[in-house]
Amino acid sequence: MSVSHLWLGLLSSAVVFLVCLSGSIYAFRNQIENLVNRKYAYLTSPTHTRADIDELLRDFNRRFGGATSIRVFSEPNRSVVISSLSPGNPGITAYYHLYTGEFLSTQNKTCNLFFDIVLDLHRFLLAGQVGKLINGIGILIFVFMLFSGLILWFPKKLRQLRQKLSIRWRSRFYRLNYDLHSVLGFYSLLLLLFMAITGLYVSFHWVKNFMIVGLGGSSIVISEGNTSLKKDLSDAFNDLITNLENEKKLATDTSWTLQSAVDEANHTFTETGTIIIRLASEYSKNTRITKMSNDNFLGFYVPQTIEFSPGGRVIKIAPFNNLPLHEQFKAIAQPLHTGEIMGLPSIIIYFIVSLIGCSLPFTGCIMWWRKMCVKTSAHKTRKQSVGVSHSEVLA
Amino acid sequence: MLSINIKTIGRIFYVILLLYACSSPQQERFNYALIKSKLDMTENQVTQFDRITTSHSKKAREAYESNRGNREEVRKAVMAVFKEQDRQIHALLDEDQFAIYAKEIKIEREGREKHNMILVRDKLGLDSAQIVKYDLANEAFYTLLIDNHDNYHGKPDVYRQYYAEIDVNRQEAFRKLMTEDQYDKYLELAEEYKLGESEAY
Repeated sequence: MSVSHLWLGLLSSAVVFLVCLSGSIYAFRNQIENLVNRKYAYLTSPTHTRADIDELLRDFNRRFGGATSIRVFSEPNRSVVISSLSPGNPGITAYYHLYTGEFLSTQNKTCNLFFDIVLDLHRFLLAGQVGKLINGIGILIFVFMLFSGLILWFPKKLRQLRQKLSIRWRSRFYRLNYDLHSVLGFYSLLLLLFMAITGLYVSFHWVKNFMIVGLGGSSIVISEGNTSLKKDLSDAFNDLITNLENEKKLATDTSWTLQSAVDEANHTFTETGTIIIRLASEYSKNTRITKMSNDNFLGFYVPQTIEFSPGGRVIKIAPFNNLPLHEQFKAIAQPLHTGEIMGLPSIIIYFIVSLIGCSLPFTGCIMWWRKMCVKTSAHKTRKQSVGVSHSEVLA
Repeated sequence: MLSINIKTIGRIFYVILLLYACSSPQQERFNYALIKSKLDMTENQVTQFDRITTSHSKKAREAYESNRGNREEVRKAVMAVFKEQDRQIHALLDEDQFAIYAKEIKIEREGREKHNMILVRDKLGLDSAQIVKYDLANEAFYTLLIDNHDNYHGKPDVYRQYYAEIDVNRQEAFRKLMTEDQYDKYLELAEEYKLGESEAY
């Protein structure tokens, strides 16, 4: 076990170091972006009457065109953020005054670029699909390392437990290094394992499928044998055609506005929360409103979703609590991985744990280096003593 | 002994990665075959057209790779390559040909598939009731594809599997709404327009 822990650790060390470091930086993206754009992201004089969302959207489309999403924060001193970001299009992100509807500014692009690079490093090691593969394999090895590390950590006798749980800060460098690796590794094990598995969930289709099936969902792998998925897709397609046909027959509600949809969402989900609007696009004609609220036992930010047809009819209401377990996991997999699930406190915990994860290959390498040095000097000493005994015999 | 084995495994791992990196095929992003078919070019023009588009596709890929991670720089670098390609094509073609090229390449660069589905529809000679059903089937197809986005996000191979599976249902809907001749023609056009090969959502 110790040999495989050593060699696999050396093999994956660079990947683990880079992924943990970039992850710990990326965890603060929102906070840093807000800090950089604080002049526009925060409002100094909140009032009670809010501007009409449709007005803001019209202004954005007139200035920049192609808005894809709107974010209205739960905090009364936050600006509305409208973006035209879409796959393959970096788009424009702009701040609007929540109360006056005034256009404030576009988002700082340098900050965005920095975090895009950090994210690329975190997900692809800046090397596209090959980087993604190396990354995935490195993290799979890391999961094994966490388990093998736990086995190696286990004290042989109960009285050794105390020293396995505490760092002796005043001990010599190599001992301190050992403690930092072993003790910090133990304390951060569960969260690191959790981050690694949710990361693998994003990277590997088979891990995602494994977890969804494990949580009671159906397989999402398309294959000849997976008739259940084929049937689900077929049924969903036929239902969509029927719904679209019915939708076309019904008269469009001309009084329907985005603001009325937001009001409807607030009426349906009464908890306070940030509202994210995915606007209708060329490929998806429906408008989806997601309300992120943390009004639950664990204080998790979870999404509640309501979807509107182009004619303004509610076609889907999905409160988080009513979703099956695998759908709940799918809905919160990303914030679970990034630490945003409980807001700033969990982000800070994730940051610290990521830094520990980042230190493990480093302290592990020092342990390996120390072992090599001890081995070499022991080998030399043995050689010298053999040489002496030979000369004694010859004499 | 075990450490030697693991070192060997490590070497094999890197060789596999290298082979994987080298074997990834570079797919042509734009449907130049279709554009060429609309330009009525001379043999010499076709040769020159191929030379220009091939070399600039390579340059665009290089520009993308060398600026990877910086969206704005990628956009600028790739746009510069496009601009240079268009300048050379402009010098190669006459004004009428270039007008067609400019229109077609714009569609290619902004997204082809939905536009192609309209072109395919117009070539099938459908009546007004068929057109309504054709559009509904397409809308259901793209909506379902987007609804399943979470399952294939960031995985082009899985995206293609989902596309093909949902397309089975769309084709079935087309088969029901079209005559046999129209459906056969649709299949031919789907091949000609490379439906499902050029885009990922």
